[in-house]
Amino acid sequence: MNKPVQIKRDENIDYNIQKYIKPEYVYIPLENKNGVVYKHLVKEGDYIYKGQVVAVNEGINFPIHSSVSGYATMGNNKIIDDGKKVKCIVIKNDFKEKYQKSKLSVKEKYTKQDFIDALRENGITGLGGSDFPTFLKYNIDKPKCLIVNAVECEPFVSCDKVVIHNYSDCILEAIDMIMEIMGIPRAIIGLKENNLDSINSFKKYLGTYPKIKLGFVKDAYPNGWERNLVRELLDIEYDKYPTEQGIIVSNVSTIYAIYEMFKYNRPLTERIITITGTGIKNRRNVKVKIGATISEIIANLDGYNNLKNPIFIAGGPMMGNSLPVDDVIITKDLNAVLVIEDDFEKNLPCIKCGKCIEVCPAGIYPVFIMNNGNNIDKLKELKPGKCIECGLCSFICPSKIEVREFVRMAKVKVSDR
Amino acid sequence: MKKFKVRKGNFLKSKNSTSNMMYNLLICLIPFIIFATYKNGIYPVIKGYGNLYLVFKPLIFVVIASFSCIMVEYLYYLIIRKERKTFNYLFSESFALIPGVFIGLIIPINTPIWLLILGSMIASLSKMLMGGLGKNKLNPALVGSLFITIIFSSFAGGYLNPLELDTISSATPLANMTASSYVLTYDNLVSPYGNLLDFFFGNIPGSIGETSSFLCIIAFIYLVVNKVIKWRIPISYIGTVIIMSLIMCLSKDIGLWFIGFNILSGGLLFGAVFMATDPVTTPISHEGQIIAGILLGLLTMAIRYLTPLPEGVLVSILIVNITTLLINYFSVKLFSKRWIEVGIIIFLLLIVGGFSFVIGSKIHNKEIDDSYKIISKQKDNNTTTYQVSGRGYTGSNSIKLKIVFKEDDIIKIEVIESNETYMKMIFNNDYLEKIISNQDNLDDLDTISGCTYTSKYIKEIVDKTMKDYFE
Repeated sequence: MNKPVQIKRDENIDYNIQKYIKPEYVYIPLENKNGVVYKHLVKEGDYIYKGQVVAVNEGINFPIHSSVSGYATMGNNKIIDDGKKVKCIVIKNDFKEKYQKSKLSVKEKYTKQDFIDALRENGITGLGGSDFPTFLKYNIDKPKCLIVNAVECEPFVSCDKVVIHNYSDCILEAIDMIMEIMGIPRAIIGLKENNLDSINSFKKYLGTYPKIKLGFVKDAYPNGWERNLVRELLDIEYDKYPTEQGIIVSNVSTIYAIYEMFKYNRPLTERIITITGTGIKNRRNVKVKIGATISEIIANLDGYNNLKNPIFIAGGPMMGNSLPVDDVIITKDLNAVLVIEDDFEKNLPCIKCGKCIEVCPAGIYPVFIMNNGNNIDKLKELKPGKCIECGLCSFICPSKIEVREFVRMAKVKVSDR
Repeated sequence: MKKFKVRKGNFLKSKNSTSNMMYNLLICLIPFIIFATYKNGIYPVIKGYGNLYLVFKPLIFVVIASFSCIMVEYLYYLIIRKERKTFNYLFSESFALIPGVFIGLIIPINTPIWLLILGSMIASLSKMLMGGLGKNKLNPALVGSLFITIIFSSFAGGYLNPLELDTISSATPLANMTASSYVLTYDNLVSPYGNLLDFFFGNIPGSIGETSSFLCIIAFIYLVVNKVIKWRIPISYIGTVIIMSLIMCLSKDIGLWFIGFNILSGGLLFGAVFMATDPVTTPISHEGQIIAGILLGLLTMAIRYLTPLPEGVLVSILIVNITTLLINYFSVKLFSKRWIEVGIIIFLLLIVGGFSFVIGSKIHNKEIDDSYKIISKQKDNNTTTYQVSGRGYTGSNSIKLKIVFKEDDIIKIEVIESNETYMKMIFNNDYLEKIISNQDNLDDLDTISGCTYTSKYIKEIVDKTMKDYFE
């Protein structure tokens, strides 16, 4: 197995969470980045309550909720974090935050089935970036271990650290409840070994939870990847999903979302995202409504610095996407926005140094995939489908070639046939 | 709504860059240029074997070779591709001077300047014709120096600077080994040049700047720490040579010094660290790199011991450059069956083992001496006159001596006939008289440096004749 790569940079994290939860319009995209299509359930002109189901993924009966109350309009196309233009339900916010009455009852006790239903009904998805419905993960028999992923290995992104700093007691409480409901014997919170602030935040309250342990990984990329984390903490390998081995891996922000679900029994409508980069005047973590647009939020955060060639990135610097406009919908999986200068060196020819092979966490051969881009038979042998798009090959390449983009293309080519 | 430029890719780049890698390589070569200046210039000049030109010759070689390479690339772009490239581009993006610097260090110091320029041009041309940086299939520096070696072999003079020509026994250690019909004794291979420490620090005849194994090891550590080179290749290359030497040592009862001799001679470490790790022309996958290293070791030893070519490093690296295409092809084919590659490595190691015995059957662990002959033996009162012939440095029967005994002593030794190159030094040193005066303890008599072999063989012939006389 290749060793993860240390990416050094000093980060000054402002642990205060600024709130911006009064967007004028909220957009509910009817397709997500994984290509899942949602069926809309509301008509133009309908009054929509906060927390009302406005669209549903019919395959697994997974709902999307409105994060504000107001009147619906239809048919606007907007881009989401992977740059795809998708059809949206648009809700004009009336700032009343009106809930439907029935939604507000708080449950005292959950059975396992209640819990899984609640996860589904409240639209909890992985907030780490996968946009994978959480209830699917928890729907397994006899889970052995719960791993809470608090590694957050992408540089610049700090929203998980901020959540931990402010809500470590809530997170521990939620983990304890989940363990009791699900009958999970133990839980490990995976952290970077040098992330002392988060470690101390947990240690303050850890004494009362003997079954919850902290587990440490090196400050290296991509140690926040599920597979690396499970290997480092438990020394277990799995084929496709960790649930095969009875392991549930949840992001720490997802756990906090579950905490809020326990407390208020209301759907997931807000999240914390990191807005940073040299192009941003006021770099910080912001609590936002899911469905708001980034442009509105940045405008409320004192706007942009003047850069020569700014680029706008949805996501972290390693895995994020550069987008043509800042008018991007905040989805549940968007954890950061980065505006930086485009001062990247131009690329030289590949000198076949093999460094991309040395760092690839999936153990594939990026350079061969790049050089055999047109030979489908060879591409199939090289299994580009294993790529997790972590971007390490592009990071390490001394010739500054965007190796990952070639692997991505190969991935598409192979899956097309 | 604000518009942004779209950029495909990731947005964080590591600090290491191709130009950094190349600069690190150049930094590592500076000590070699300094060493070359000392060994080929300063030291001989101090000893009175040359003039000031010699001091700067290594540096001049490097500069001329680099300049030729840059000119060729500049002209190639200008004439064939119709692009005018700046010096900065040629230096920091096409790395035009790297082959030149290497050529300046791996050729004989006696190479004529015109040949050096021609060789450098061919090196650069080979790189450009195969598509330029990143696309060349053969290491350009090696192509150039192979060309120079082939042409140069028709010139007289050999590898050496004047000091080496005059004071040491006239050939590189490996050429000397080939000349002495693979008699692998310490006296034969190492003693003429001092001891293994001289080999280690590079105080032996050889190309301009590649003899110092000590500098090579330091450079290797520097390059590995800075992640510049594919370290698996030199490690498996040198490992293979060690294994083969060890098997030869054990099976033929040769001392373990032989391992050191094999690694420290012939510019093997320089080749392993700098030439065999050139990123462009070597395999990419880890298993492929190990396979290439083993092949290199195998080929180098085979060329050294089974062919008349003394120096095998250069040619074996070029051959492995060619097999790189094949190795890379199989790396793709066997991506999901990597155990096959591991199998290939084990298979190759078995071949290495077997091959060591093949080479072992071709070498000797002691002098074969069948050429000693008593031509005539005349007794006259109490004097006995022998006419004997025996092996010399240039071959069997190249020395013919007349030895006269009176009672229990040798009273006269005369050289009747000799093909020896340095017989003059024997007379200059009064060596024959020394043998007569030391005849009771010949073992303690030192050989003459500069004609070590001739003096040693004369001593042996006298020794054998004495044995015959006293029987």
